[in-house]
Parts: sequence; structure tokens; C-alpha cells
Amino acid sequence: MGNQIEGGDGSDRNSAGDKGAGKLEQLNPERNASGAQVKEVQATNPDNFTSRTEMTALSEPLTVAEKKAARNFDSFGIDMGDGTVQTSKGVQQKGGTTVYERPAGQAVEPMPPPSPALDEAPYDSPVTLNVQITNVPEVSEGVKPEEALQHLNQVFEAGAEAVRPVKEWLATPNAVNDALAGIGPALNTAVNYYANTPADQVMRDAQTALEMAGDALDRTFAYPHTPEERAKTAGMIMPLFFFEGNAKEPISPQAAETMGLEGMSEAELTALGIRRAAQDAGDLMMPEVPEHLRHLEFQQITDDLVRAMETKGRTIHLAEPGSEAWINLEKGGCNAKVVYPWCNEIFAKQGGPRVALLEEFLHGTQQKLGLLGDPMLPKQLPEIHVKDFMLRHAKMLGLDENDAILLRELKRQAIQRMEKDGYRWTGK
Amino acid sequence: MSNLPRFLCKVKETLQDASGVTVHTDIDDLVPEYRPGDLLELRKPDGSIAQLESGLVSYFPDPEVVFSESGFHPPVAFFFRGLKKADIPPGTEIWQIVEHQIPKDVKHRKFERIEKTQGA
Repeated sequence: MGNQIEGGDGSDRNSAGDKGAGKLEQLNPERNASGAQVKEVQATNPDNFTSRTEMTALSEPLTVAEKKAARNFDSFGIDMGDGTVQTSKGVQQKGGTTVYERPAGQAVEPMPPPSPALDEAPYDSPVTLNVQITNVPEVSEGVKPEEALQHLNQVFEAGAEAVRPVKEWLATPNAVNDALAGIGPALNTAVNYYANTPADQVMRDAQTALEMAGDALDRTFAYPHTPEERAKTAGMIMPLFFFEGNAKEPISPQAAETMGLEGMSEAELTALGIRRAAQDAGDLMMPEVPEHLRHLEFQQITDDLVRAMETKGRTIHLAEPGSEAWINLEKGGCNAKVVYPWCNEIFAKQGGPRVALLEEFLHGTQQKLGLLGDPMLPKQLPEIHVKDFMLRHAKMLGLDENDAILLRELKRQAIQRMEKDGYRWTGK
Repeated sequence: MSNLPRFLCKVKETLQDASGVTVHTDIDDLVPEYRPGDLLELRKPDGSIAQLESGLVSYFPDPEVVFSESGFHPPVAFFFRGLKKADIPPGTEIWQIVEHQIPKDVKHRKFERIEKTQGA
């Protein structure tokens, strides 16, 4: 092992070299061979060091004029043979500076309709995408698409009949809940979204969110949807973005223009859940909140309300006075009840308060939204949440002051019970 | 560490409903680890045992009850589908056999995790 360098202990170094070696070891502790040892190895096996000792040949230095010429990139010109020169600024006439430019802009040519193969073909079938690339950013500067989509959660709480089908769609078993769950943290960011975002930007974000929702639909059901299905989905979601404005007022011309509504056919508008005002084709109306949920007197349960709920898949058991079902409700000290997680059946006293039946109905919506039975959520949360929602939308639901007083008290009691479970309500 | 099965409550009264039975219990609050839809074990007075999928009854109280000073509170009530009143006699013990882990730290814009104010 004569060529092996032994661990340097300084024994073969001279005293002058010891200081230098010591500093070197401080800088590079792994280098512990003395100069003599290196020379010994080099003499034995010089090939290992050949490449390190050869110097790279230097090219001849440039003259000052050559350097200036090299920096003059504009003059790297290529003679095109037609009296022009190609430079970094484009094609120039010899002796002139004609520059041909085309400003960047939005693609103006309409996209051809997508091939049905994109939406309907089996996964393993090859498809070719025809894509137009633009340089226009499609994402709001003020809010990310995920945040805009997350805003749906807030608008869901509007609870109007017009938006309820959306909730039910979203709550389809294993529907977009998973997709939405991934963007939950964005919720807080969206709180001040409307306060800080220009209206036209809201519209653009809505479009982006709708596209995301369509993508979520695809992911959820694991197959591409037809354009009709996606349009239907978008149509169901779209009211959510506008509902808190005023469903009775026409969509603003600016919004209609931004959303590209004016160019749509009646059939396309219908698919999106939008109708034209009868007398004025220029006015586009969002779906109206159904009559039975508009300015309710909210005194007693009515047949209309029961029928409306039954059309939503609920079974309403109205207990007649003196019946066993009535007595059962009396024993519970209640006017209505529903069973988690089977909220499709509602039990209520005939002639009982509408607020009770409506509250139980909304539990069914919560169940479809996945708010019931989630171990990550406090078990009292549904009770608080539904009353909180009803109070915030008391006017829309037609609740009077007595209803509000009752709901506030029930909410307070539910919050107390939630605190016993180790949660504090931080909402209003 | 799980200590299941865990005794939850006793059945005070069984009521027949359209599609099953509602059982009123002797407690007015539930452990937070229970979730609607969980399997519960019913140990009947005759010694028989059954494990059934349970629903939790949500009552909308009568306003007079809410504002009364009687201290009445709707009981914790379970619902069992497809059963008859005689299937769950009063005195039946209800035991928890499924336990959900409660998150120790939850961030939400409308609630937050705190220490329990009393044992549940």
C-alpha cells in the first residue's frame, strides 16, 4: 500500500509547513496529506495529475475594434439577398430602420367547436387538442380561482330555492366535496372578496370557477362529461354568484357582456338557467326565488310549502292532533323533527310553525352538503349553522321578529352545548 | 386508547314512527365521539344483544318549551329504522361501539377548538 496516503499526523512535515498545513486542515479537515506525500504519489502515478497540470490554450486576444463590433448586436445582420438585413429588431432595409411589429393581443379567431371525442370518447382513445394560446392572464390578481370557487360555500348559504339544486348536486355522494375540501383554506381569503374586487373581475372569476367546477365534476365521476352536462352544471352554479345581488333585477349589461350572455341562443341561456325578460329581450334575468320562499308570512305550515318540499324528494309526515305521531312530538317537546343522517323524512305537527318545518328541511340540505356526521366537525355545528343561516337570511325566508327571537335563543343554546364539547363559536 | 364498548345511556321510552322507532334516552347530551349513522349496541333487559345502525333525532322545540323556565330540554333520542316498538323495550342499554377521533386542533372561521368546559 505504498501509494496510499496515510493519515497526516504532521510527523514528516517541517515546522514551517506545519502552520500552513494546520490552517489548511482547518479550512478543509478532509485534506490531511502533506506536500511530500502528494509528490510521492504523483511520482508513482503521474497520469492522475496530468490533466490538472495542463493549461488551457488561450485564444488570441481581440482588438478594441473587434470588441466594439462584437457588442454591436444590431449589426449582426444577415444579408437576405433582397436588399434587406435581418437584425435583432426584425427585417430592416439596408441603410434604413423599418421595423415590422405585431402587438401582442387576445386571440381573435373563434375557436372551432370541440370535438365530441374530447368529452365522450373513452379514456384510452387518442384525441388531438386544437388549442389557441393567448397571452392574456385569466386569473384574477385579487383572488385565485380556487378562492373564487370557495366563495360558493358562502353563497350556498343564501339557501334560495333557485340555488338548492346546486347544493344537491354538490352533495351527491362523493361529488365535488373532495375537490372543494382541498381548497378549504381559501375560504377566509374570500371573505372580503366582493368588497375589494371590481365587478368585472368578479365576473371573470366566476367564469374561471365555473370551469373549475366542471373539472371537479369530471374528476368526481371519473369520466368526461358531455358539453350539455357541463352546461347544466355551470347553469346550476351560476346563480350562486349573482344571487346575493338581486335575482329579481336584470343582470347588468356589463355582467352580461363579460359573461358572453348576449351572444348565446335561447337554448344556451336556458341551459344556464337564465331567461330573457318577456317584454325586453335585452334584459337577462336570473332564476327567480320561488314564490313559496319569497316573503313568507311564516305563520303556519301550508300545503304549498309541503308540496314544494316534497318535490325536492322529502317525505313530510304531518301529524294530526291526537294521533300517535302528534303525541310522539309532544313527548319530545317539539313541533317538528328529523333524523340525522336520514333527513328525507320530516315529522311535523299539522298547522305547526313554518319555521320549524323549514329548519328541518334545511337539515336535509346540510346532510347533502356533508355537514352531518363529519367527525372533523363539532356535532352541534349543524344545529348552529342552520339557525345562523336562517337568521342571516330571515328576510328572504320571510321570518318575522318572533321567529328570529326563537332562532337566536335556539342558536345560543346550541352554542352552549358545543362549548361543552370543547369548541367555541367564533361566528356572529 | 379506546375504551369501547362504552355505555351511553338507557332507553326511557320507545315511540313508534312511520318508518321505525324513536327511543328517548335518560341523558340530555351525547359524547362528542358519536356520529349519526354509527352502529350502536343494544343490550336488552332479556339479555339479548343487537347491533344496529342509529340515527339521531333532531328536534325543533316548541317555543313555549324553549322560553319556559321549566328547564325542559328535548331528550337525546335515537332512531332505528325498520323496527317495531316492542323491539326496544324501556331499560335497554345503549352502548357505543364505534368511536370517532376528535381533532385536537381545528381552524375554522366560525368555531375553534377549546378546552372542554365539562366532561362529556
